[in-house]
Amino acid sequence: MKIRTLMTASAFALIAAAPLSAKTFVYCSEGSPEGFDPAPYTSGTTFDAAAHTVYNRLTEFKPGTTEVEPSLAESWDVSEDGKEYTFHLRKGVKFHSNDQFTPTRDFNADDVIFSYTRQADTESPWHQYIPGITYEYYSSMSMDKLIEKIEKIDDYTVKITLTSPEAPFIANTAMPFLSIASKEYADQLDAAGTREGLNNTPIGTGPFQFVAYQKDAVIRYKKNADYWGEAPKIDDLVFAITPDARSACKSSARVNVT
Amino acid sequence: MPYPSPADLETIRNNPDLKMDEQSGLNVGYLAYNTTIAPFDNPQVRKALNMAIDKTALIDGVYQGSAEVAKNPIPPTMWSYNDAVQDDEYNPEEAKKMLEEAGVTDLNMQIWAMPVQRPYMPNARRAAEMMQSDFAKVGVNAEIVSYEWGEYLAKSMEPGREGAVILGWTGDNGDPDNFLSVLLSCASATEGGANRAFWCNEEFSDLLAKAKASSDVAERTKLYEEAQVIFKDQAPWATLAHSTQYVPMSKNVTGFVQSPLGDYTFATVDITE
Repeated sequence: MKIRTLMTASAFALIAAAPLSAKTFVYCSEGSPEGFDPAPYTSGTTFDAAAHTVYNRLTEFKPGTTEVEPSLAESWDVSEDGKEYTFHLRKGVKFHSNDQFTPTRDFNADDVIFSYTRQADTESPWHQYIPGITYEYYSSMSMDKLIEKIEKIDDYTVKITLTSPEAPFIANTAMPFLSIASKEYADQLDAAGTREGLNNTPIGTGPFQFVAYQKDAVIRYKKNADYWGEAPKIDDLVFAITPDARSACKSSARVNVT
Repeated sequence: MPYPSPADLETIRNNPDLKMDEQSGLNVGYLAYNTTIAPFDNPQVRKALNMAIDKTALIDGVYQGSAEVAKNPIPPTMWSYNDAVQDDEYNPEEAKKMLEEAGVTDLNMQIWAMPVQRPYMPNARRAAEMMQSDFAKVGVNAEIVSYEWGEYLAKSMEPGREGAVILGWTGDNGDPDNFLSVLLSCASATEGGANRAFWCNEEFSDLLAKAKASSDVAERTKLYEEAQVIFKDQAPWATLAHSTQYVPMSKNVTGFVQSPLGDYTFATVDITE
């Protein structure tokens, strides 16, 4: 897809570590994200800031490879005709919490249905919750044509029926635009009339929890202490937004934004 | 700014506080012949031209060494990459002989040079010039043409297009189908497609269709490996390069794993004192 290609082309990044008592990891990122909801956006910058930190997906790419491995889906079965994908979801996965939100339940099938269908369903209040957004990746990967229906079989089983057999579909489920958000958080935002919270103060299940964002300057995250996978080894993660990487990050060993 | 410039890479490499992780990106740069037009409809002619291109020189001259020679249409970081495939040998003498055997003398052709930079092709004009001089050595006279980017993409997909086109691709989802079907299947050799070689090999396309219908990764891997053998044998493209992604970082960073998809993830990183 062109946009992704274009944006990654301009991604020059430096990674720096500032030794402090709590382990803080500083990453010199190339720009501000479009938002913190990965679904409506297409830039690598947004995916790094939101999808790979805050969120998980049904499947993910095994680090360093293009192979797909289980994530929020522990396993999946494919029907004989290649059209029905039944995902068996991981149990005991906790969503993050923030000042406004404390989850009362674990991740389940409702979160998957919410995260997928809001992109397809133009009637959903979550389709245009920010004026002007489109789900460009969803359509450019032909998900709108490919997915016939999504069904909740039970709390931990979701069945996706395709219009035709398409093995590469499974790789799409590992892509940032299919990150899994919290339906419970969305409902709370809806009730409070603050839907944009989904894009500004994200809640996910990922290895890092969003803390704060200052546009064109810095994004702060902390380690998700309840992470279902292997817990991060660093305590705090900082994205130092430095569009002019050449000057700001060259001596990255001395970068210290805390 | 696009990738770090060669000068910056040098500075970073020389900084004792820093280290650099490098990996072949999920991309390919290629030269696509129009396989529907004589004499490029003859695989022997395409192969001969491929053997005339000094790709090692191209990597130095166009990518400043920040790439590796491509032999397959998919990059080595992608699953099902067939490393057993042998690249065409750089051999202008043999290439010249093969062209003569195919009855091709005094060939005039076009090389299309993209007007923009892409990770897979940082300087298409320079690449075209180098191939022009390589082709001259085997008696082929190439004229370099270029258009504004939008026009370039549209015109290069017009049936009956002259000559060979420089282009490339960066993958979306890490699936081999995202390269092979998009760029080389019969279905994409038509308007609205992206098969700029207009190459329609039914055996190749059948393998892709079979692989798409199977969810068994081991079986799909075998099918894609076979498809790469057919591709190399039929030579619809000269596969040029996979450019390198660089991630500079402090020396004391451990556990960073570069993603072939170009993502940055920090779940596994640590800092040692």
